[in-house]
Amino acid sequence: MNTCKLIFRNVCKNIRDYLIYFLTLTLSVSLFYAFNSISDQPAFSNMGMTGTLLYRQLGIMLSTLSTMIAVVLAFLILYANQFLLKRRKKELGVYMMLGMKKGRISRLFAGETLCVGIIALGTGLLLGFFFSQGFSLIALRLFAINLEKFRIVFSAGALRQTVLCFTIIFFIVMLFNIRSVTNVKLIDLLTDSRKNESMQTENRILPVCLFLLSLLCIGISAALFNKNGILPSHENNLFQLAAAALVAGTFLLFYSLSAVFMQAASARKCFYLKGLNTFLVRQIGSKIRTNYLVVTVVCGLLTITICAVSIGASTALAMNKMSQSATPYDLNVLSNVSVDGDSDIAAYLAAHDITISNYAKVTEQISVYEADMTYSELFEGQKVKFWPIDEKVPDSKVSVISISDLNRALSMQNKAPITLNDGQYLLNCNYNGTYQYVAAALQSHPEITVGGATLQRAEDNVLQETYVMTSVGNNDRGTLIVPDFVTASLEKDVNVLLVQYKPDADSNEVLQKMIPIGLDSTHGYRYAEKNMMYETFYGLDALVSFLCCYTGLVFLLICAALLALKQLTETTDNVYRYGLLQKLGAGRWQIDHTLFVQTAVFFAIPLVVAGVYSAFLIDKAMAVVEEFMNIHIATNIGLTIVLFLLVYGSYFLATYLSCKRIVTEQRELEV
Amino acid sequence: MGDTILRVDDIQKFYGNKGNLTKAIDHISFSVRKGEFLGIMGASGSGKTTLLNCISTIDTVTSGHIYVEEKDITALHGAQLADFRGKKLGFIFQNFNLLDTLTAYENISLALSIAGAKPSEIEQRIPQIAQALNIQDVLGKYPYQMSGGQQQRVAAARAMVTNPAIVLADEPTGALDSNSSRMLLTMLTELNERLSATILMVTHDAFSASYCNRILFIKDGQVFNELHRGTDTRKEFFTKILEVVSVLGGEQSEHM
Repeated sequence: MNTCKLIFRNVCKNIRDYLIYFLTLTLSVSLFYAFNSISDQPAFSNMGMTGTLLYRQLGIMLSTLSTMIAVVLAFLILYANQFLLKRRKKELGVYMMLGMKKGRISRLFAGETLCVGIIALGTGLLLGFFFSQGFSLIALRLFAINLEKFRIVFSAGALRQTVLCFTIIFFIVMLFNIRSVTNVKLIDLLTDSRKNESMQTENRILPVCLFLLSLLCIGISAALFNKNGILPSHENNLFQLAAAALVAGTFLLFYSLSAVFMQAASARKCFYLKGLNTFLVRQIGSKIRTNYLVVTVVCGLLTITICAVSIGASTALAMNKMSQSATPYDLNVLSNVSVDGDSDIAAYLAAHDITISNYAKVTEQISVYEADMTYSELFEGQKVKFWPIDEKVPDSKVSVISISDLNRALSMQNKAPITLNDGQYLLNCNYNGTYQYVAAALQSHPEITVGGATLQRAEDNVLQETYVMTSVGNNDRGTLIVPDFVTASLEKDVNVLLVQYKPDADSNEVLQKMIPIGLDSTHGYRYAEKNMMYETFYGLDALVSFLCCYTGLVFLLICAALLALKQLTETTDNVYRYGLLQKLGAGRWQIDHTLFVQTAVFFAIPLVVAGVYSAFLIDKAMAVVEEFMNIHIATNIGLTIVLFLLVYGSYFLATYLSCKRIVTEQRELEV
Repeated sequence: MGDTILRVDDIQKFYGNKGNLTKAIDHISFSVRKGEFLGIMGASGSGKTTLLNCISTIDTVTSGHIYVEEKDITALHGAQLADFRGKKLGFIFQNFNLLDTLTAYENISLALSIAGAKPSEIEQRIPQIAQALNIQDVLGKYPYQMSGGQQQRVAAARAMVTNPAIVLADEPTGALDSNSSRMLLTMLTELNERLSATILMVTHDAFSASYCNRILFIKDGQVFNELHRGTDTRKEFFTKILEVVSVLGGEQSEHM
């Protein structure tokens, strides 16, 4: 039989052995392709100027990260390959016994690697192509770009990069295989080496002490984090101390867990001596004991993954939601009445070569007035503490808008109008820094006197409308909404022209023309444009949250693959145990159940601990992010859960099915 | 017959398909009485391991019936089979096959718990069997902490603790040196005589076979000859076995 034929037959025969290896390879390839292809999405290249700059940054960061990820993936693939090699040691030994030259065996194995590699590359690229569309959609949503511009694209650049990168990885794997074949001793291949698991110490008290110590360490670190926050400080080493305590605690926890678990389980005779439970408990115990290092590492990576993905996704979603509510119009132009007088803004723009009606579907001009009271008077009787950027707020006059102007603004946003009777007032606010004071002021003012008129409170709740676009998260600090007649006696502060574009309007063109008007310091015209706001608002934050998700996904993949390979290796090594159980009279479903529980526990333990850590850390981290970004973020773990179900879940299933097959195969072999 | 434990009734086992049919077992019938130590001898490929696999329900027969305590085990399926193996059969393996993550106590209790015994029953039965086999001292130890002889006794205790109808041993001395073989065989005899276990041992080795009460010789899937030990000493019985083996044209014993 020639080598080529043998290679193909081997691959076909072992295709199910290759399942985990194949899954890892395919997912790696598809992830790699998908992330590298995002840069070729035309919706990105159509972004405005600020966006393009960011997008260039994204490209650079992605490629740096890709290189790092490629190195990590290379290690993962090598590790998976080791498992395959181990599983086929006997076969290799038989070839050598039959007198096949080492060179030919090397070629055989190299050929198989190549064959599987090419199939995985093909499948991975195909999968990656579909993934990349999904990723692009997510990325576009994160950047709040108009999805109408989304196109399905095939990225040649990403393809080239992926193929190049994985060719190098396959080449390394092939070299590695050839090396292990050449260095191997025949005797090692043929003798069935049973892996010795580390045995339990007889000492019964020590593990319990270590377990308690580990809980103490984790508790101390939790208390320290709780007190000092999760950011390192220059003043003391408490952060380092807490982190060290956490790592040591986790390590000790997994180190002592099996002994404690086994003592607890074996103390309950009714459970322990039922069916295969004795075997199951021992099996799980020895698994955790042997792999406590891997479990600790996986637990750490999972914690990072959960936190990174949750925070990244929550931040992006929060920003997205905020920016949408903060940008109800496509463009608004403000004119300062004290500088430019009470003018028609559209006319001023037309005089400066911007015929708004060419671009606009609808326009409205509304006016904002100044009340005859300051914010400090409005908030009187409250203990007020403003954010540093708002230090001028207390002395500035309260903004006022007439109900008809507000309703015109709302109708442009396709919102229902608000009714306000003569002699009534409302308060509007959507700024986090003042919202609580405005709400309190509304409660403490059943009546208010503005411009000589005394008005009754119309509603108990503060409105949260955005009638003028300013910048995201930095909008209305509190506005009185009054009947139209009241504003007649007040001083006009600004006029605002609100514009919604026609569908085919070119926002870049408008922006280009607006820039000189905004820069003209002799006039008080300012503008806010939707796309520009998006781009300035997002910037690095969106990039970071996007990369958080990417890194999290890759870490998750690595964790799942590591656990799967460990579990598979051990099942292969201990397969004789299951044959024995069957002879002792254990039914097939009993053995399958044992395998299922073992795999489930092995996958669940690091996840549960990581889940507990994350539940604690996410809140802390979120508080830091909120403070840093000055916005409120609702924790959203939906994406994290979906991701875990998909990646972790599919690896768990694949592992269980492979283990089951290994055991069934052994049973058939024995008959 | 009231004391018949195992009755094999005209069984056949074919392998392969129409074009290429192998008769591994070709009309074999015999029965085993309670307390017997039966040996099944034959050369490689004579069908003796297939026979054992059929009796232990790991393999199925093509035709015929096997009765254990007058119950037809060829009619059992799935869970019933596993249950049968757990309750009625005991296995002795050449390399003891103890689970190395479990203590001696747990290795023995596992056989009981698989057969569905209650925890209270388990706690009562294990000290009894441990005493009978003199392994009380090693119950808390792991296999790697025990000597070979102790491991053998623990394996025997595991096979006997469920009070099986019959203990099956497939080439138990196959890869052992002569000293270990002798130890194992002495122990089987002990189980047979002191605990009145019914043992069925498959072997190709005349020395091992000489420990049995009765030997069935199998050739080409058929019973070729039968030999009773009667009042013979082991040496005399061994000589008789060798005579049959030379007629049989099978392998010679390695333990001359």
